[in-house]
Amino acid sequence: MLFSKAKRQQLAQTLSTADPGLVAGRSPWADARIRFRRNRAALISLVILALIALVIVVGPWILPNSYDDADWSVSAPMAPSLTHWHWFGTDDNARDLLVRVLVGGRISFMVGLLGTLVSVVIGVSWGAAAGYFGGKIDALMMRFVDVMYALPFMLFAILLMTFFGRNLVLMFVALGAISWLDMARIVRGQTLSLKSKEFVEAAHAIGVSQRAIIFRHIVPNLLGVVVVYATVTIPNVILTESVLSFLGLGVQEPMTSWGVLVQEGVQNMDAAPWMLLIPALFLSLTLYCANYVGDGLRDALDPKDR
Amino acid sequence: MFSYVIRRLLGAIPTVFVVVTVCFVMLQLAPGGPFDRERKVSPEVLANLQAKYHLNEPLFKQYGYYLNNLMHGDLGVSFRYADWSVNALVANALPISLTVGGIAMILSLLIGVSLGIVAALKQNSLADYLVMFLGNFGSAVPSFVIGPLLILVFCLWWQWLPFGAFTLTAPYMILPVALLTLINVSTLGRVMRGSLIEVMSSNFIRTARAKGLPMRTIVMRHALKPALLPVVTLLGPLAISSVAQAVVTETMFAIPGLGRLLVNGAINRDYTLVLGLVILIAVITVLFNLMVDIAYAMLDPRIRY
Repeated sequence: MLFSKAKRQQLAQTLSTADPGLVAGRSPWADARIRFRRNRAALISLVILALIALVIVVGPWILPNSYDDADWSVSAPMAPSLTHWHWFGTDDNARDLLVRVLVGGRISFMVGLLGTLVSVVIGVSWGAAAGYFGGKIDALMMRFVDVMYALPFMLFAILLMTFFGRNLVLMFVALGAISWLDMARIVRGQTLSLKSKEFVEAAHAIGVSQRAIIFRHIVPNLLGVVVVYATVTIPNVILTESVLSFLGLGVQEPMTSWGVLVQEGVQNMDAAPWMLLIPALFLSLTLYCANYVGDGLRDALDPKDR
Repeated sequence: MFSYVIRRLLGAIPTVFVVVTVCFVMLQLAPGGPFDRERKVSPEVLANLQAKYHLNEPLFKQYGYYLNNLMHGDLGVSFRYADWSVNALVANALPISLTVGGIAMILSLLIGVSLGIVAALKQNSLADYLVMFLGNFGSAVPSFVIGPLLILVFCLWWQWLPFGAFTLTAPYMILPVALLTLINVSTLGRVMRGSLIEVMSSNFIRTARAKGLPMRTIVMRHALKPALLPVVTLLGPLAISSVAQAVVTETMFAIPGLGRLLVNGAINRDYTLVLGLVILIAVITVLFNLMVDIAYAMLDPRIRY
């Protein structure tokens, strides 16, 4: 479109004085936000997750019981009741189950977040490097990812826990180290398309180092995809941690997580079914909601579905 | 065809090699030596033990011995079970795992595929809702929650089934097989439903209908085979995830199979046992994936190898 100078000035005048809501374009993020809000299931799931997160963070501070002290004033195990704040009852060691579930939730959430962080760091670096360098290096790096894909990841989790003991920090690393494969594949694909963009060529032309190009120019442009796949990874990491804890290879007593609590519940399910049912409910609800939120985010941000 | 199989077999070698190397590296990185116990052995005895197991030689030589033993099918000696080689432990456990896992796999294929077909042909019917519900349920409720609930209801509350021990007899196998089947059906049903719906809307099905073929013939003769291809592809990932499922199920139902051996080995930090099992399971999964790929190449006429 070609406009005369007068027309252009007039247009600029109209645009600058017009109601901003009328003409303002929407950023892709705003678009995504609107799409996500329309997704009722994802929105409800997000609210439930936020509530669970709030309760597990605040709960243990407010409640009078502690997660590792036995309350000998009541019988053990005691069914859920309103006395002594034992709303979820007590376990076979007379410890308050409500606080234990909340503290276990803290650990499960923390493992989910930190494990995902580790997987993001490894996956993004690996994928970006493979995509950026291309050629033989790419083929070799992605061949490694293929090899890892063909193997049961649970084996690696168990292997890592066997050799490096059952230490919480190592567990984050171990869980992250086995869940970065999808991330690496997705990031590589995105990097391949970003690599040929003009701004990367420009950076290359003015002599920016390859390392700096990857981390300053390519990785920031991957953020959208990375955020989405990180949300999808979180429930998987939480699930893996619970499985390991359930098997006795994860979090150790007296510290607890939902996997440990389910395991303790299994030991006592005949006498105290609430010890199994309550943590199981929390874990399942969290995983269910997190899956919905992840799917919702993916639908909202995935450019393919527009 | 033959050259394709050979090529794929050769392609699997690097995978196995990576696994073995990773395992060996981990063995070296592991804190503490294999002969560390609460009671210290005298230095002379330790030196003898190390000489016997070549631990006093340079790393690359140890690696050579390790590879050599593996080539001969020797997975080493257990560090914790006295008098047991890893091979003997595996020989006891493998048939049990294969029986339980195999029955569950066959059942879930039969049930999952038929449920998927019914759901795809009669959308919004009861079967359709069942498939959708199972798909949602299976993705959210972990197997180690479903399993104890099954035990709670069927063994403790209603007392229909025995629990606590395990033998390869029907009453003990019902629940573990049911659990594994349930988990697999949740994915298989959904995939089968989706792929059959897609196939049913394709042009060659429209042609078949236009020719006036009965619905039954259309589905059985024309739609089923292409619709099954995604299910075949799914078998590989399914086999991989069923390793994790087996570990959980066998621990839960006290099944003396590979999964429980692995967990016990991990808890006791029985390095050689865990490594041997990991290598074995990795090789089995790689071979299984290979067979799935070959089956796929044979089923899909579009693939030229």
